[in-house]
Amino acid sequence: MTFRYSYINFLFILGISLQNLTAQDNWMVQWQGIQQTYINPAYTSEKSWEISAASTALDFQLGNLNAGDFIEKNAAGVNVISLDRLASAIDGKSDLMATGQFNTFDLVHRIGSITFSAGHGINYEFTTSLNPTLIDILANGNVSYIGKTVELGMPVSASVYQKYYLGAAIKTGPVNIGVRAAYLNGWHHMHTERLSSQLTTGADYYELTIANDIEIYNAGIFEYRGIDDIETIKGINDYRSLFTANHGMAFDLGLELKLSENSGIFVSAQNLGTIKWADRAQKLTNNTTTTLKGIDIERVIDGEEDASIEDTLLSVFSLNQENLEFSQKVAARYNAGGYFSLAGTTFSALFNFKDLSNIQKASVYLQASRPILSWLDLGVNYQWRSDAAFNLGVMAKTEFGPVVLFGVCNNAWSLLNPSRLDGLSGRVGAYVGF
Amino acid sequence: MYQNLRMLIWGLMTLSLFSCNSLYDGDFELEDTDRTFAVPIAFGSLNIQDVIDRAEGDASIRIDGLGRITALYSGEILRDNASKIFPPVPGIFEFAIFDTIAELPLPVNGSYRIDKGIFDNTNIYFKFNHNEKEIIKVKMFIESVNNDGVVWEKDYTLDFVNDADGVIETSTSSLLNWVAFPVGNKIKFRYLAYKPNGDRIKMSYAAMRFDVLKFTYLDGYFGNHTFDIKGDIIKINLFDLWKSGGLEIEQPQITLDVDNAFGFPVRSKVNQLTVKTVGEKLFNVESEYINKGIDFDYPSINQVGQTKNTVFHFNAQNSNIGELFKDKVIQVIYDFDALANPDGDTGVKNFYTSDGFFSVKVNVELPMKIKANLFTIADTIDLDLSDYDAAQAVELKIKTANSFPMDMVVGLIFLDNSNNVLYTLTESEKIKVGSAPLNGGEKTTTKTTQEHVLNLDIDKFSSIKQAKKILVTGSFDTNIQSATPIWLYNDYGMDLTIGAIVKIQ
Repeated sequence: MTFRYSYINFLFILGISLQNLTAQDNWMVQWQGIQQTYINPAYTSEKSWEISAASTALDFQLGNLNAGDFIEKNAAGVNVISLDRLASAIDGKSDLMATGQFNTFDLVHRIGSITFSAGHGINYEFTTSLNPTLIDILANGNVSYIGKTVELGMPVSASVYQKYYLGAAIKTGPVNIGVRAAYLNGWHHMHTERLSSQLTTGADYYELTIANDIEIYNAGIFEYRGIDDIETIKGINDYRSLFTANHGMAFDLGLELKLSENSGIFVSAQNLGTIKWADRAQKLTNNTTTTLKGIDIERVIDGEEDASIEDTLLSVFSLNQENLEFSQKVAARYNAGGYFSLAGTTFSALFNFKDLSNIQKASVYLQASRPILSWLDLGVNYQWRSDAAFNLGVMAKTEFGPVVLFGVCNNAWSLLNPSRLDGLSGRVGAYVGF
Repeated sequence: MYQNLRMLIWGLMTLSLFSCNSLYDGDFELEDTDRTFAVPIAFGSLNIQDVIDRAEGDASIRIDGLGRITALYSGEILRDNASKIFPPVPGIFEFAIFDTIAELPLPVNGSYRIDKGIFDNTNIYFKFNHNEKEIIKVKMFIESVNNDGVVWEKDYTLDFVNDADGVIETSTSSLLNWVAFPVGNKIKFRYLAYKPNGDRIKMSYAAMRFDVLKFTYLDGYFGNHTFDIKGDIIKINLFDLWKSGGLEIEQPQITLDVDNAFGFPVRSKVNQLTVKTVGEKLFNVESEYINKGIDFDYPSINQVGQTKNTVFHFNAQNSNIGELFKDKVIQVIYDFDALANPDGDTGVKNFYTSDGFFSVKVNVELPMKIKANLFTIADTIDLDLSDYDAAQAVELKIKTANSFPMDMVVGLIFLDNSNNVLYTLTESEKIKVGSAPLNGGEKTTTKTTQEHVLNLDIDKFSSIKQAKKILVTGSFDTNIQSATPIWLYNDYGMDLTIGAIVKIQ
């Protein structure tokens, strides 16, 4: 199977001048500007106005995998994906995750000790847990599992929604308190409440039993009319409207304590809310157990035709469809961090916990940066995350007029040795303040 | 200078990140790997009853109270109904009544004697002509036809006809259920004609006509003559696929199964009873009953409406069939006639009813008490493995549970379109199914389970994939369980499961 690299390239090209999303968030702690609102709703501006536009962030993680674990360029220059090596590389399971934001427009305006904020953004998330058994069977077949029952299910969730918010942060002495309320409008969503397909390969004559316990909720990603009649919904254009019937609310909360002029600690919780998915919302279930026994000799003698393997498999995974509305939490983020400056160097630490639909991800960042030139800050970054304990990265920040560009690589070794790449993240944006 | 340095640093950062890209530029493809899948191929559980229930053609089975089976091959049922004996007679011509009296002869063979007949829906009418210029009254009698002793009679009034050649036609009368007692196979008509003044006259012309003469019942004596029953060919497919070896069948027989609702003696007349063997050779069945005929039972005059059944077996005791069937018979060819009143005994009261019939069914009965001696059959099946090109090697796991008291060996020969042999299963690769034990009894009570692994490695399977046909041979042998013929029972059968480990790329 061959496919063009455009999508992969897109991800890598996006890496130009990007930084690790959460590492960047950490740096936001150091960098006192409007973009700190992306992580800290308690941010209070020192300026009268600050405006940010088209701030784009991406965080893509391969879990405990490195790209080089399963992709290798052959002599012909083709990148060969080895499912066998991928299966071997997965230790237990590997969570794939892509989250991101496109902050179209953000505005803060300070009146006295109150900083008001407003803006619009698009948030998205995609997560799945690679199932090593499934990949092993795809790579090597099921012979190793004769007489065994294995789980082939892979939970998946994906969501895209837009967020319109209004907020305020109040400075009372050393404490800043911030609250933002947001209207959410969902575009696409899918999550697997249950996705279990247990395969048993019989020891007798390899009869295959598939026991399904599947419950999928979908809205605006595809329309299921039958297992052989699934229509993909191609982007928001299908809605013919910026707004859909998928409405929701969310809140962002923040609390910051200024310890000194150059130090402080904060905690925040973001995207605490739900969307009620109503547009093309479907509940899809399958709770069947089917045993594939091969050709029924008696039916053959009777002159009846057995269903083809393809038809049988389609039947096995056929879903019961109900059109119903459902509510689902959006992916929340919880942050706790602190910063201080010492001899011109700013140090910061951030604990981040992402509560995605199927996956919970914790990360810790430690960073230090300092101005090297009047227009250039450089820094180093250490990251711990639950499936990759040691990552050492570098950071840079510069300005072109009102545009601030900053980049962070969470694993510098990846830059020198791309085969060790296990994730990609970053942000680009522009702002102006006066 | 700072501006240039700024651009340089950003350029380096950009290039460093592009370096990530360098590994992954170009196309992506999945690695070609060998994968090995274990999949079920087929399953089933069949016994003799299942197979024969599904069999097409003339074959069926009979199961006795013990479950022992007999294969039956039947010919077409040959049937003659009443119209063959007394066909309805259409009234084409007028029957003239001269001199006021006439006797109508029944249209039957001269050797027949009709004592009594009950009319079906036969309609009659009369024609008259007279020269009188006044109204004439006519009373018509059928003197040999009555109903509970009352003779059939009918009055007609004939108007004056101002035409000497004019013919007066009466209305139609039905004779349904009227009973005729012919004398000398004749029915007597008589009329009386009167003028208004009472003078009796003779009509210048009188005639009777009927539409169709038919009877629901006749009795008497119907003579000595032959019914042509014709014949048929019974195909026995037991040996269609025979290749070699022997199959001894104990007590084969050819059976005549006759149903007779006619009330007169009938005897068979065998024109041909021949068997054809696998070598296309023809042999006549020889038996004293072929020469002297077989008398079929018939209902007596007191059993009108009943059907009598006669079953006669040509077997090893009364014919040479036992010997003939040792030579693998594939067809039985027969042609019969039936002789009515073969002994010409006019004292036997014959009868006929319109719904009577005579039918003959010929069966070949092969009791499945057999002795197979490496009895081997073979057949060629079309094969097309072009859809399985990705398969490199196959390991078949064949499990059998057999309750037949016979060993079975299946061999496979893979052929191309020109029948060139591409691969033949070696002796050790042939699929062997062990017989179930008789343990000194007449019937097996347990199944013998066996597992056979047929490993078709890359070299073998690459040859097999070119095959377009497969010659399947099956060999059967009962000697290991018994030296004499053994019965097959209807619950004998085999459970079969086939799984495969397929290596694909």
